[in-house]
Amino acid sequence: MIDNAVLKKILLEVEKPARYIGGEFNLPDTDKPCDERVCLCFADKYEVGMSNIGLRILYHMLNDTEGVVCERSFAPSVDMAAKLKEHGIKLFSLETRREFTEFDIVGFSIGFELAYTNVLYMMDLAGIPFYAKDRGEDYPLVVAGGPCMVNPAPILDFFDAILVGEGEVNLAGFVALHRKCKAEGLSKAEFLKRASELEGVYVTSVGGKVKRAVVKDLDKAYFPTKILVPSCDIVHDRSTLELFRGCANGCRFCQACFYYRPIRERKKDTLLKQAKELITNTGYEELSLSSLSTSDYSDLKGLVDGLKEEAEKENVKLALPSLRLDSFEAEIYEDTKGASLTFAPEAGTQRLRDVINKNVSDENILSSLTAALKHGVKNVKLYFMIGLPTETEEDLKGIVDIVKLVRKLHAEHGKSKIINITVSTAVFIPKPLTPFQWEEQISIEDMYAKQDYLKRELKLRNVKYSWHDAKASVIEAALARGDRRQSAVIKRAFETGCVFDSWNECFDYEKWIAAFEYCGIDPREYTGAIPTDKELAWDFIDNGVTKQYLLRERERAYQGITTPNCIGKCNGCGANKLGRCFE
Amino acid sequence: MIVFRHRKTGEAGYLSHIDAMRVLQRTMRRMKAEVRYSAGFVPHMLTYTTTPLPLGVQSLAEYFVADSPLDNPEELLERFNASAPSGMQADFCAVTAVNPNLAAKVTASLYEVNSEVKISQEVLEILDMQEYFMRQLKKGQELEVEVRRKIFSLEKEGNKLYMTLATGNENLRVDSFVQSLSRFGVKACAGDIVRLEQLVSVDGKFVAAKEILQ
Repeated sequence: MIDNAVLKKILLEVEKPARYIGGEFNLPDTDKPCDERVCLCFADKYEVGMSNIGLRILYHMLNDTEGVVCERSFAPSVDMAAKLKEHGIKLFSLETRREFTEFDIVGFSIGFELAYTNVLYMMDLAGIPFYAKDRGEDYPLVVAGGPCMVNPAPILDFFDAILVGEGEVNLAGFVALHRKCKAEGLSKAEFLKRASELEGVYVTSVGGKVKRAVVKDLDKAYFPTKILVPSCDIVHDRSTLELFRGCANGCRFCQACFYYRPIRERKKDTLLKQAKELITNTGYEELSLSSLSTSDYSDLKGLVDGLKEEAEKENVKLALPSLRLDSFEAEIYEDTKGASLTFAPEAGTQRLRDVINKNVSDENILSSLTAALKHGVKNVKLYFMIGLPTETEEDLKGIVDIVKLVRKLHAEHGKSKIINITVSTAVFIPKPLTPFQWEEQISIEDMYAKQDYLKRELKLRNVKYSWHDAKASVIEAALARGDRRQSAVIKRAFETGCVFDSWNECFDYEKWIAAFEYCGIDPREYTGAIPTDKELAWDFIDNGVTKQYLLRERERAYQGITTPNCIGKCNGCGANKLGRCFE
Repeated sequence: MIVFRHRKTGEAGYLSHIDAMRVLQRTMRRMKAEVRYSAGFVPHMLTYTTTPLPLGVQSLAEYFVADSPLDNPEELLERFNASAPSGMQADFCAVTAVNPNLAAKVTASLYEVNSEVKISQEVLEILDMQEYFMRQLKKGQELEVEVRRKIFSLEKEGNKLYMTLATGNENLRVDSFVQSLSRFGVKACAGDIVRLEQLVSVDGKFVAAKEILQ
């Protein structure tokens, strides 16, 4: 346990001490009798990790399990890390301030490739060796889960096991089996051998193939409504309802779309009950709806009507994210009293939108924006990608044309006096488990050239243009399709000072490039085109969606043929073998 | 109006004033207390507090006022404590017809300081001084300021120092003052300070703020 007297002094010397104190409302009983202690770690700051719905679900699920206590730990800011080192304090859990070695299992949730160095940063602060092979019986089992497990190859060697898929299934199974094996007095190696047979569990020392674990019936799946309410401000400081998992749209660049399939919904009545409980138990002022494409929820209008009634009674604001352009419903929008609208056409022309399978037409854009502006929208946020396969100058010009169209429509139909347009472009990153997983990423020079063009062309009144850092996109792409050799690169990058790489102010491209060079690896090996017949680093994972389907989609992309939303008719991606779509 | 006296102890001592306000407003929402909202474009809950504590300083006597028509203090106290985090539990609730405006009425606070070493007699001799200078941050600049008139009482008991210092408009930052006492050997940081009570002046005497609410 940590020396609280020393900690008390340290907390006064760091920024936002509330990040490190725990004590939130609705804290589960972590002093209850237990035979298994799990520490769930998030490889980013408290305010980011506490906003993560997956971590929230798993934390409460484990704490609601008799005999199991689950605690949390987040990556401390560099000022806190320096103080911990200075005073010889190891990284600890928030609830009981235990060191990592006092836990049976330490689980990392990793949602972003640029968080890899933060995992090592936390391990280093916790005083545990980086490589699984160097951690004997004295150390806890260290496992990883989260969206990055679509290709865990670059970080495999750091973990005893990788939990692929949904934690309600694989983490629950892993913890239950460990309790049993611990009671039987089995060694770590013996336990891991048995664990390798669990659904969605890949044991690094055993190898083989693994099938992603999914919750079969989402409506009946565990969902906490008595959730922690942080005492300090966090990124998404609100209650969140999870409408459904998976996405029927099949945008060809989108990893989440394919990774979270099959598509499973929660019933409206279940969601309304959960909303009521969340409002009562948390006191949050805002309730948001979470999914990959909220507009696709089967009874969105009915759900919003029901939520509106409850929300108005309790002075709660409803937030509707992820509205898809082609199904924008002005009526819903008006009901939720929003003043801004976020659209993601992703590409500037119909041709390129067809290539990426963003099933949004020019007519959709025109009619949706007109409706929104007529209803008083005064802030429009537009998201695009640059560097998409087959992109031409015409496509970039198309982005500018859409922005000009919004201005024109506002002049003709706008209810508000002014219109603020925010345009944001991300750089295309070919991600595993997408039809574009074999594509090359454009060069850094091309990224700058395209961004410069847009900077010039979007110098318009009330238009703000922002863009993702090109250099960070290159490293993200290299890690996303990385292989096992990259663990050395990640370790080297961390050792030379790379942490919080997803924070612009902390990212250091030169250090990353130097780390690649030090390990004798060229990052362009990973950002270039990959032959479709080449074995991929993530082929050992059965994510449901088949390679044949992805190849077919890739072919259709090059032909400019769209694939319809699969709500009406199954497109045969293969995910339904993991569980039924549309219960 | 409903008024709660709540503590801010343990982890809650490290919450900023804004964070603590948010926690208290969410407590009101969880306890389903009927509280009035402002009538502006973005309505906000009408609540009031007294002078904020420096970060790390603990308290047994923070006052939180909510504009509410509710009128059963015993029941409200119970509901508040069922809905507030453990570090912010209340021990007193009163109902008043109008806003008691405690921020203006509280003019002093009684603090307890737990020093790592025994408090020396020299500390108490500050009361015999005409002037007492200490370093204080003002608008980002560290200045030497004279604060003797803001020190109302000093008493010691072993390692503990009890002090009554000005609060409110004529505020004396307690953490800065305690830091200045290091010249007399006092070894304590903000985390070693507890506000025991907030005081109002009645007929020239300090009384606990809750006394004027009853």
